[in-house]
Amino acid sequence: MRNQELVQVGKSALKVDGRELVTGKAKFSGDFNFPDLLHGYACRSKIAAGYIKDIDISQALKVPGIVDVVLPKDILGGNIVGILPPYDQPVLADKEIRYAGESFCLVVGTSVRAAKAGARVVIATIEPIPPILTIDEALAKDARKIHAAGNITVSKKLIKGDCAKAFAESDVILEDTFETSNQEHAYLETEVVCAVPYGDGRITVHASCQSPFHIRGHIAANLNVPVANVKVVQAYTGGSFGGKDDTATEIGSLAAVAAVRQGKPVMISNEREESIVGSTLRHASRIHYRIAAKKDGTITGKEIKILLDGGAYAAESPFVAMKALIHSAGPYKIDNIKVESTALYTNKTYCGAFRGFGVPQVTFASESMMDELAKKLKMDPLELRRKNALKPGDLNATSQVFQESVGLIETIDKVIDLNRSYTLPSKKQDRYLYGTGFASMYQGISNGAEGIDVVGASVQVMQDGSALVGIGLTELGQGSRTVFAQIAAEVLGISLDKISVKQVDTDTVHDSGPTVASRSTTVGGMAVYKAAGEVKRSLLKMAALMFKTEENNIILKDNFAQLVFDENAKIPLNDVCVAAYWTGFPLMNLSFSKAPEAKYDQDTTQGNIYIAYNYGTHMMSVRIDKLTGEVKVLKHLAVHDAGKVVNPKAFEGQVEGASLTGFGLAHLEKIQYREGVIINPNLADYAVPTIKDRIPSETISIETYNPTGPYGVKGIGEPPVSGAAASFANAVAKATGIRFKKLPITRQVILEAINRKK
Amino acid sequence: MQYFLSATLNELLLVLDSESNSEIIAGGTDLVIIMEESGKRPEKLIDITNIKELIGIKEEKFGISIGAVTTIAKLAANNSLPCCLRSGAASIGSPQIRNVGTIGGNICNASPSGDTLTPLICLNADLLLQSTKGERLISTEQFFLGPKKTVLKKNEVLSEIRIGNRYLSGSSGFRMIGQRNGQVISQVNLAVWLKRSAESGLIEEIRIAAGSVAPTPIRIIEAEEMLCGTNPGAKLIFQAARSVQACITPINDVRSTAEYRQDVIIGLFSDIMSQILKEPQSC
Repeated sequence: MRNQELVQVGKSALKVDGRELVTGKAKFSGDFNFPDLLHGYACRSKIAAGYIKDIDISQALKVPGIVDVVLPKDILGGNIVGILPPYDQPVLADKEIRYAGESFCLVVGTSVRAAKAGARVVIATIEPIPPILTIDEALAKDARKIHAAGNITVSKKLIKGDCAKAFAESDVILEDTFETSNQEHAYLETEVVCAVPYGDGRITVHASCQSPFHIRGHIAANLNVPVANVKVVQAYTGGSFGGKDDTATEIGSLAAVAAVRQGKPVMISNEREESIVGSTLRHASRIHYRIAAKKDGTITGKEIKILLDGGAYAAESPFVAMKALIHSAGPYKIDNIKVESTALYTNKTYCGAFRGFGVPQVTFASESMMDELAKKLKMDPLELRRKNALKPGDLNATSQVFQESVGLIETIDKVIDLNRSYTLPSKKQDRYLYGTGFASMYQGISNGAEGIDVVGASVQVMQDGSALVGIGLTELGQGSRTVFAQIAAEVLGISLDKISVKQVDTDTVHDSGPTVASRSTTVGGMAVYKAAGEVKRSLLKMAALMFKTEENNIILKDNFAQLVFDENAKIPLNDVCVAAYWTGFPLMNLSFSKAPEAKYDQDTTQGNIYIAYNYGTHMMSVRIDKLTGEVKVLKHLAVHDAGKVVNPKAFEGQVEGASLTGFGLAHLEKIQYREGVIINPNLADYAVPTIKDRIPSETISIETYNPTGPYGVKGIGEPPVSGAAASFANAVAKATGIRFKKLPITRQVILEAINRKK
Repeated sequence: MQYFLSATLNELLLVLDSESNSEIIAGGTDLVIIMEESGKRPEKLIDITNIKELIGIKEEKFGISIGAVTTIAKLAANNSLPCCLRSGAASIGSPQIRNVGTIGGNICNASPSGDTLTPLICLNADLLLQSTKGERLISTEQFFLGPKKTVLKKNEVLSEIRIGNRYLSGSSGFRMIGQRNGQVISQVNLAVWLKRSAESGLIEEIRIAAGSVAPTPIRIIEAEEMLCGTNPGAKLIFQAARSVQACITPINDVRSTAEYRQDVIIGLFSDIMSQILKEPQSC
C-alpha cells in the first residue's frame, strides 16, 4: 500500500449519503410510523437522591390513551444497563434514585401527548436523602456510599521511571490544580428509538445510535431472550459524539420491553431536556499537576492526580479514567511519570463517552503547565514543546515505541512557520487585549486498553459491476460511509458512484464493537480493504482467464480490467463480473480486521496500548474586549498528523467540528446545578456554540504513513477537541496575563478576573 | 382546553370579557414553553394572530403605531423605526423565533431581559390597553410590575404601541450581551435615546433604560440628569456609566452573576454613547 498510486483515496469526495440528508429524504428513527404506533414517556426524579417508597400509577392508567405503565418489576431480564463492569445502572430505578432526571417508570400511550399527560399524574413517593454532589463530598471519609462498593468507580495508576528522583534532581518544579465542567453533546437529533415486533418472533429496534451491538445485547438481557432474537437497525443518526452509546441502550431496552408487552411498536423520543439531564455528559474533572524540568527545558518528571466526577453510574467511567491516565503527560518524551486517575460517583447525571474521551480535560491541564513552564524558564512555548516532543523511536508515557508515523515535530514546525507570517493587531488600542496561544496533543487511535478491537466488513460485487459494502461501524455524520466507499472503490477499481454502503443492521454484519476511539477509518477501513481485496482476487482470476494471461498482468481501474502493459487492452468490469458469477467465482466476502492487541502491565500501565496516535499542534489568536470580556478568535490553526487522509473535505469538516466542540468546552458551555438539579437543561441557557460563534479554523494535515491502517491512515474524529480547548486557554492567558485554571473561561469569568486584577 | 381563533379585535374583547380562565397566544414562543414545562393548560387559549387590525406598523399624526401582533422580524427590518428598537428586535432569539414572536408578546411576557422593552422605555412609548369597558393609554415605563407581572387586567389586551414624533427624531442605540453570539438571551441589555439641540449641539433630552438588572426593565434617571445639557466627552460618559452601574440591582441567576452584570454595563453604555454621538445615523 505504501507509495502506491491512488485514485480514490486522498481525493475529496462528496458524502455518499449527502443527497438524502440535505433533501430531507433520509429517514431518522423519529420518522418511522406505524398505524398502531405507541409512544413511551418516562417519569423522572426531580430530586438528586432518595429512596423510592411507592409509585402510584392508578391515576395515570385512567388518562385517555394510556395503555400501559412499565415499572422495574415488568422488566423480565436484569433491569440493567452498562457497557462494561461494574454494570451498576438500572434501566428503571427500582429502590433508589441516584440523580435528578433518573427514570423510574415508562408511561405508554397512543400519542406523545397522552403519554406525557399520564406521566404527570404518576405519584412517586420518594424519601429524599442528602445528595453527594462534589468530588470532595464523594471522597469524604464518612461519605454515604452511592453504590455498595463505595464512591470510587475505578482508580488506575501509570508508573514510568523514578519520579521521586526526577523531582529531587530537577532545577524547576511547578505545581497547580485545574478543573473542567460537565459538557453536553447537544446533537441536533436527540436520542430516539422505535421498537417493532414485526411478527417474526423477534424484536426489531430502529435506533438513533452509535453502537448497535451494545443495544442488541442490552435488549436481549432485559427481555430475557437470546441475543439472536433481537435485531437492531441503525437509522440515520443526527450526531452522537459518544452520547448515544450508553443512552441508546437504556431507552432501546425500555422501548423493547414496552413493545413486547403490547405486541405493538413503541417509540421513545427524548425531549431536549431529557437529552441533557437523562443522558451522559462529559466528565467534570479536577487535575493536580506537578512538573519537574531542567534549566534547559528538558522535562524530567510529571506527577499527576486526576479526579473525574462521573455522576451516578459507572457507564464508561472506567475507560475514560484509563484514557485520561494514558494521555495526561502529553505527547512528550518524559522518562519519569507517575499518574493516578480516579473516577468517582456523585448524585448527578451520569457521565460517559464524549468526543475526546478524557483527553481534552488532561490536555488543558498539561498544556497550561507547559506554557507556565516556558514562562518560568523564559523559553518560547513552541520551542519548549519541540524540545520535549515525541519522535519516532522514543518511549511514550506507556513506554510504547512507534518507529514511524510520529509527526508531532512536523506539526510544531508548521505552526512555527505559519505563525511567523502572522502578526497580531497592534496592542495600542486600549479597549482590547490580544494574545496567541499554542497547544500540542496526541490521542490514541483504536480501542487500545479498552479491549479487543475487531471489525467485520462485507463486500459484494454485483454482475453489473457495482458493489455493496456492509460494516458494523456506524455513520454518525462523521463521513465514515464515504471513507469506506472510497477504500472499496480504490481496491476494486470501481468508480465511487457505483458503490453503496449499508446502514448497520446487526443481522447482516459481524459484531464490530462500538463506533468509538477514532478507529473507524483505521480498523474499519482495514476490514473493508481486506474484504474488497478477496473479491478482487475473483475478478482478477476471471479477467486473467478472459485475457488468457497471468493475474499479475491485470489491474482493475475506472470500471475496467486492463492489461498492465497496454492500457487500451481492457474489458468492462461488469463483463468480468458476469463471467465470474457464471463461472462460480465468489463475488462476496466477509473479512475481519483485528488491531494488534494491547499488552501492558495492569499495575503500571506500561506497555503497548494503541495501534497509532494522532499528533497535533494548535495555534489560536484572540482579541479580548476589556470592557465586556467578549473573545473574538482571530486565527485558529489546527495542524494534525492523522496519517494518510482519505477524504480531505471530510477531514476538514471533522477538524472544524471537533475544534468547535473544544472551543465550547473551553469558553462557552457549562452545565449548572442547584442542589444536584440541572438548571439550564435547554439550548437557550446552556451555551452550545451557534453558527455565529464559529471560529475561523484552518485545517492543515501533516501526512505520515501509519503501517497499521489501510493506505497509512490514522483517525481524526476526536483529537482536535483537546488542541482547540487547550490553545484557547493559553491564548486567553497570554492576552490577559492571567492563568485561568477552570473551564469554561467565559466572558463573565474573564471580565471579573480582569477587573479584580486592576 | 378550548382554542379560539379571533378574527377581529371586538370578537377578542368579547371572548376575553366572557371567559375567566383564558390566555392569549400570538407567536407562542414563550407561552408554549411555559405550558409544556408546567403541564398546565388554560381553559381557553385565544389565538390573536388572525386579527388584521393588530398587525403592522403605521405612520400616524402623533408618530408611529405598531400593532401588538407585529412580528419581531418585521420590527427588525423596518427602517422607519428608531435604531434602538430595530437592534433590540434583531437581537431576540433566532430567525425562526423572530418570524413568529411578536412585540406584544415580548412586552406582555414581561421578562426583565426582553430586548424590545428597554428600547420602548427609552423611546417613551405608550401602550394602548383595550377591553369591552374601554381603553387606556399607559407609558411602557409604568407597565411592568415585576418579572412576568404587568398592570394588564384579565379582560384587557395590549393592542397597540405608540411612539411619538419627538422620539422618532433624535438618535438612539441598543446593546446587549449574552453568553454567546447567536440565539442568546440578554445577560444585560441597555437602550439610550437622546436629542441634541440643533444650535448648540448639547443634549437636550436623554432617556436611558436597562434590562435584566432589576425585577423589571428600569430607567436610569440619575445618568440622564448627569448628561442632559452637556456635550459629553469620554470622561463624563464614564461617570454616567458609573451612575448607571450604581442604579442597578442585578441578581445571580443561571445566565450571569450579579458581578458581571455590574461590570459589563459600563462597557455597554460606553459603546452605545460613542455610537450615538459619533455615528448617529450608523444604525
